[in-house]
Amino acid sequence: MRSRIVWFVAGSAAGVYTAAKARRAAYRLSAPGLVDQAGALGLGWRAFSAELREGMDAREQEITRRLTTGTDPEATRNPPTSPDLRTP
Amino acid sequence: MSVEVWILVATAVLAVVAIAAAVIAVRAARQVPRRDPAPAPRSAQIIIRDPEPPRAAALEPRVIEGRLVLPPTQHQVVQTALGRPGVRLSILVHGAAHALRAESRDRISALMRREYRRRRRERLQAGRRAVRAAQPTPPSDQWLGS
Repeated sequence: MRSRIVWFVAGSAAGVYTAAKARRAAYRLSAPGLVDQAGALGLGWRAFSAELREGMDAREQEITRRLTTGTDPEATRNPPTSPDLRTP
Repeated sequence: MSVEVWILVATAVLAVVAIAAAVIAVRAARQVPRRDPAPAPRSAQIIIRDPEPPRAAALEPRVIEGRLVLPPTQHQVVQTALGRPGVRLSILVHGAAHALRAESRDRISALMRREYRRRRRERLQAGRRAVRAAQPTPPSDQWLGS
């Protein structure tokens, strides 16, 4: 009796899960779902472009700074550690 | 006197002159006051300072072979350097690497997922509202009967 209940609960859960997944997949493949995915894709493309532009601007500023001041920003940010030159 | 004797005498005179010059040079060297070097400290610290960045000298327009040569401004130099294909490619690669790093990828994918779910939820809510508008529910006291 107990195993029957367990199997009944497991089957019900699997059915609910499969039904929800199937409903979402059907919506994804329908026309409104495709429109929604296209909208989300456009938003993602805009965010990616903004990130790309941000990285390009940072690189341009770094190159400009290097050209105008003649210093390497990376070197000033992480100065090399000099060995101890003191004589005993 | 034979030739050998003359050569011997000349060589002897040259030797005397050379010895005299050497003696004079040694005396002159001894007369130079010696500078006693300062006692070296037992511990010397060497301070290395970064040299100042070279300052761009202001170039002036010059006439060379009858032609006026205008030196480019720093802005023009920077713009020209930034316009080189290699530099443009480097900038583009850096931007792509910035946009494809893990933080940006996660942020963009989460943004897209939230946007899709928001659109789907709004569309389903609009569908339910339309169904309710088309089929109004009967009054709640209808089941009581008349």
